[in-house]
Amino acid sequence: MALRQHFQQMLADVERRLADEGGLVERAVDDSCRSLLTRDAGLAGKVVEGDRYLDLMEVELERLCLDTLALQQPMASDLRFLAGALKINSDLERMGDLACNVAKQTWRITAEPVPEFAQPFQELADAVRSMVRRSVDALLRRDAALARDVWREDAGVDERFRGMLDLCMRLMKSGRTGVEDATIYVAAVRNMERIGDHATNIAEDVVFIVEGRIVRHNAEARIAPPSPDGV
Amino acid sequence: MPMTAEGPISTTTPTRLDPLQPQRARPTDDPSAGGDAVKIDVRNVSFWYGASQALWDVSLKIPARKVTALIGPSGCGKSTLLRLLNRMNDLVPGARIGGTIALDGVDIHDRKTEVEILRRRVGMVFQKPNPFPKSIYENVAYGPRIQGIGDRARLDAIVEDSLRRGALWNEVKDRLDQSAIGMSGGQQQRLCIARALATAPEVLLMDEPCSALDPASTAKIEDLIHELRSSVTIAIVTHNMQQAARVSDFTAFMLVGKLLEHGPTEQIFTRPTKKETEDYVTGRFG
Repeated sequence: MALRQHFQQMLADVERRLADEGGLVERAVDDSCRSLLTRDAGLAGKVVEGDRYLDLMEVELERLCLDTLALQQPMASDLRFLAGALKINSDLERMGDLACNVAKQTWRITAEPVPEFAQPFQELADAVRSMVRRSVDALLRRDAALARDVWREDAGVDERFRGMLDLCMRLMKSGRTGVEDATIYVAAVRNMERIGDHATNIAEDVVFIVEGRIVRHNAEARIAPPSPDGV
Repeated sequence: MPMTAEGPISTTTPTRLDPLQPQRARPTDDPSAGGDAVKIDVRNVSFWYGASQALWDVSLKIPARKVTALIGPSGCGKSTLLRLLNRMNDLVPGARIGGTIALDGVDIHDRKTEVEILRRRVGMVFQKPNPFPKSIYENVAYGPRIQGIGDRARLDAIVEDSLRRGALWNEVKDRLDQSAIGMSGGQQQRLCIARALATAPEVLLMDEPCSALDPASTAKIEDLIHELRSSVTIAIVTHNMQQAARVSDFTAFMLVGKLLEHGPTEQIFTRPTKKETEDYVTGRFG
């Protein structure tokens, strides 16, 4: 029998719950985008309802992590995993809030978004959803290389974000979209971009979990993998 | 480089330990010692109990005025290594050692080294408290008396100072003439530490000093270790990894007689480099 079986089960439970939360966030990103673009108020309601569930999951998972820390006194990779899990848990909950914000714009928007906005916004949401999925995959596989890929993807999302802000300005100035709806576009784009930022946070935490290196607030060069000689 | 019960033999250039002038520890740039001055330098030490080899080519630098924890599963050789540091294994029949152990750069197994002086400089606290069946006062005064200090006022001062450093003075100052045997286990262990401190050691070796104590007594000993580290070099063997993490600056992980990994404690317990260390500190084997 493996040693500390109960502890291993607790760690597995934490991991499973993070995977579940990641799946919910992924769906929330997808549904919130779709609800806005199709003005589907019912779908927006489902996103909001799902966010309440995600909030409860976050609290439960935090409690489980704290219990595991207090009762099992983990060390080394287990300690890094639980410390990372606490942060990732918060990030996923916040991502759910942001998706919820996008969905709520569905109830405020006055007309179906124009195609010039709908197309790139869908692409932005797809890119962000991919980051969410891959960051959680990186966690589940303890794959620092994949986490670094996710981290790099954020630059592309930021670029799309800036392009869409320009687009919103143009739509507003040209009168193609009313000021009220253009403001909603901007809010939606901003919230989606922020979800991508949280996915990069998760990626950074995965690097910490796998390698024990804190890579936040650093340039790309500083999150390069350690050289073979450990320097 | 054999050592018999009659005495060890070392191949290093001998330099006599001077009991009156403890040498200043020398600075080192050894990364495993964190750049601190090295108090004890264990180099390529192997050790045998008769035909049975207990240590294999162990090298370890113990920094001055820091706490170094030796961890590892039962039988890994950590207590053997600890006991070598003040030659407690000399009396084991058939024991022999290879390699060198230097205290402040001086080989402790040199023929000219006087073991009594070595043990005065390198004190030891054992797993089970072992007070003498004497009064609290006499327990602490015993060492200084052996050293030739007879003056009562001086002895009183040493006893008070040692008991204070042992975090015991306030509990026993009104009953110094009572038997040490009547004290609680935690108090007895702190008395043993105070007794060890009375001879002003530069190094204190602690072999699982809290294993027989309750959590409150353990906490007091750990506080005491924190207090002592500013003036004494401490090497502690413990099976309690949380304790090693709490009290030590550096941790050495041993397995089947070999030193597998040595580094700053926070590194060993958060990001060890060897899989065996990782498996041990996470409790996956042991």
